[in-house]
Amino acid sequence: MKKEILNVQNLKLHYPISRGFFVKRNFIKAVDGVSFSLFVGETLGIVGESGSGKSSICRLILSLIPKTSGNIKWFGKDFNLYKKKEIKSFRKKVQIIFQDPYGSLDPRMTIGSIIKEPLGIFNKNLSKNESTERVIALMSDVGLSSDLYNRYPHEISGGQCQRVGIARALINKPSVLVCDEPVSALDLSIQAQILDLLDVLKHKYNLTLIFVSHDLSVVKAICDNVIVLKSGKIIENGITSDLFKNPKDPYTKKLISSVPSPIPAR
Amino acid sequence: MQLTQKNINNSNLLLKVNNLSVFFNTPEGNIQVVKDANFSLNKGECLGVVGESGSGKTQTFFSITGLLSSNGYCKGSAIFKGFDLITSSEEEKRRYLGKSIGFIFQDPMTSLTPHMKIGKQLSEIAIFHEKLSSKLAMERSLEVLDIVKMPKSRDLINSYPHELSGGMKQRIMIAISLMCRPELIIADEPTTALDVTTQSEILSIFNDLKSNMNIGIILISHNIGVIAETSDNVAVMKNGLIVENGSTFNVLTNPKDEYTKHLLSCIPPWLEK
Amino acid sequence: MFGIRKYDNKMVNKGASIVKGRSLWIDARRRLFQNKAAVTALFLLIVISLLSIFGPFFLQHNFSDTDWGSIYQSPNLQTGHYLGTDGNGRDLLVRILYGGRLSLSIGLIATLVSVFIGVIYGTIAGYFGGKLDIFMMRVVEILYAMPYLIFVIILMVVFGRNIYFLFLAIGAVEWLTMARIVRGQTISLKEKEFIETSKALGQSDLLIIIKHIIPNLAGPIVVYITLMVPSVIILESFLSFLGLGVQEPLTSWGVLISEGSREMEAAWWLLIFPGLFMVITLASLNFIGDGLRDAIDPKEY
Repeated sequence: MKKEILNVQNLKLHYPISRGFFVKRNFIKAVDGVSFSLFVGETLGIVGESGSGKSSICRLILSLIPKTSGNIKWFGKDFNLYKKKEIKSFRKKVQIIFQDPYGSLDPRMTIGSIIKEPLGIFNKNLSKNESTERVIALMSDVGLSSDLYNRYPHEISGGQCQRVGIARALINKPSVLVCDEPVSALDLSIQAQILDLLDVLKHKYNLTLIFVSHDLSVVKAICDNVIVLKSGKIIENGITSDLFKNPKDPYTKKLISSVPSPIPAR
Repeated sequence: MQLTQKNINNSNLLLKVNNLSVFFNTPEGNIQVVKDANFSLNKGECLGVVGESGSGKTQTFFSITGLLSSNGYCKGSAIFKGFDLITSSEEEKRRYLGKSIGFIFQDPMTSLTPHMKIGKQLSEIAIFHEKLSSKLAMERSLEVLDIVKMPKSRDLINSYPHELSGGMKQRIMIAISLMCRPELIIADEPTTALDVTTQSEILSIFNDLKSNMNIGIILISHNIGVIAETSDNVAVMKNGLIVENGSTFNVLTNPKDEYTKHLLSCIPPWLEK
Repeated sequence: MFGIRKYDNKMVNKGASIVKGRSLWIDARRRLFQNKAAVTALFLLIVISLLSIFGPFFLQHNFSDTDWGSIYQSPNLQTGHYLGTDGNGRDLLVRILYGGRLSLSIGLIATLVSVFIGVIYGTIAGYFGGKLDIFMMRVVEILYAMPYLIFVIILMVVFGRNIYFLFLAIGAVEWLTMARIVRGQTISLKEKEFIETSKALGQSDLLIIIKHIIPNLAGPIVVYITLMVPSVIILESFLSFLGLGVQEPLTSWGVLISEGSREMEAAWWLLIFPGLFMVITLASLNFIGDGLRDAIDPKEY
């Protein structure tokens, strides 16, 4: 049995939608009782259509937004019991990359300073030259030329922006990387490059990945285990190859059969 | 190229584009974004245009339909039923655009006017182009809503866009393009913003339009799967150039061009059905 | 994975020497100095400020001396009244320069103070949101609703008439709008993914505000500053007109212009010259503002 990194029990996120003073409050159940585990070294895929709550789960497990109820256990300890200092070191260990390659980079910072930013948080005693060296080394790891060090995000392509995001996430050598639709906004060939890169980096940095996507083919390509979400609930989960071969739930079946095949029928 | 040759004396021919080039005037000089595009489309067929961002696929069709931004201009010809869309005046073009030629854009969320009821948005275009009475126009609205398989169309015409989901809005957009009984529909990434299950519903509507109503469809997409499911012919674009053009089956199963091969190799391993 | 490993992962940066970092502010300065209109405007503004500060020392007349021999004298090089005199025979040039000291210092200091308070208040309310935001914004609304004239009068009555209270009174009014603008912008910025990423990186809230929010707010702030300086100068002249601002024989541009406009038909120079100084200053501020906004935005180049 592999070591469990993350355990989520009955996680809920409900938004109130108030319709005036006298009407009873209704709730949008963005995440409605989700439980799953993440094990060391695996790549866990979370698939679902828009509004299924997959992005909310990402933000909840990283505690970027407050949960309504449920338990999140990171590294064997309930996150509610984390002390301030522990939360800080948790932030170093668990990183996230987002969908929008341009939106996740501060438009007024250069590529170099964007990648360097996390070093300033955790390695304050690093000299300027050392940290620049580390940035450059990491830039070459993610396939970025050091010429881009002084560029601004709008001066580089979407694929390069996503590489910058990955480099920033990796500079403090995290153990878990959460990818929220990392390739959805990219062209097909760039998408393949980024997925390849993630695969290489996963082994190089011994990462555990959570990979969120609406694109089933992408999930099938890189994930070991998959969770299928629909309106905040887990519909089906299991080992990727099994789940795609023998989907049990009708929704999963529909989802898989809806993906248009690039092999034309004659 | 073979295809265009074959279609010259074909009465079914709907649109024929010859040596179409699109340029933009920019501070850095003239940029050519489409280079000598040639293709044709028959009635009741679907032409898929596939390419990555910046390949000029959208600009090609913006130039045909006069939607180029003000610093763009084009050369060549685009004959739609014997009428050149490139050289004609704005006035003449307006007779065709929106009437015989319908458009569908990528983002259904922003293509509908938020403060106008669905029924009004649908009937407006028929009142404008065909001078229909509002009653007749409303009847036709119900008709086209049935074509795009919208349930409860009588309730629907009294609702506002924000009450509908993305897939429903995109169906309304298709319905709007059908209001004046077009012969050609140009759809620019019509399913990119939608979920896969909704996408497959929209694609089946396109297939119905093609076979039941004999409408010619140009489908622009970056998703090869979408193209494969709907198109009879496909044009692959790269950097403004059509690098490969032919029947969908031939191009996708036996690509000749290096770029097409590369593109196909980037598709994640396929899901067996 | 797909049989293609197209991206080049060999040492792309082999032998890369230590790259020198580029900072937004250094870049912004370089870009600002490339902007001819902004540089000219900056030059004019500096000239006017220097003239206001040091000019009076080199002129033969004093701002309060009345020259009964030359009342309403038109501009004249021989008598040393280069820009003429007013109804009391006081030299206009000296008075304009003295007025400039006051108007410029009020315009700049009151603006900077209110921007400082407004930006801090607005970013805190917008960034943290929730109940704090609601509370902070209600406070702003209450202050908005208070008639500021009464506020100023009470200040003057309690503490006596003092030029510093003028600054305080104007600053107290102007920061409210700034806070509102900044809060609105902060809320929309907060939703951006790069802010969320920074939080996930473990960056502290304070540093997120300083490093990410404020630099991205710089555009609207700078534009608002250029709008605020003229409105502060005008506000001061209004208060002076009511007898709450500067008192005779001291003066400001606003006072000079309002006096000049009354005597426009008899003595045109009394309106034209103070007006000219004010127009040049305000126009310069606008060009500098536009230049700064473009300079801070890396996308402009």
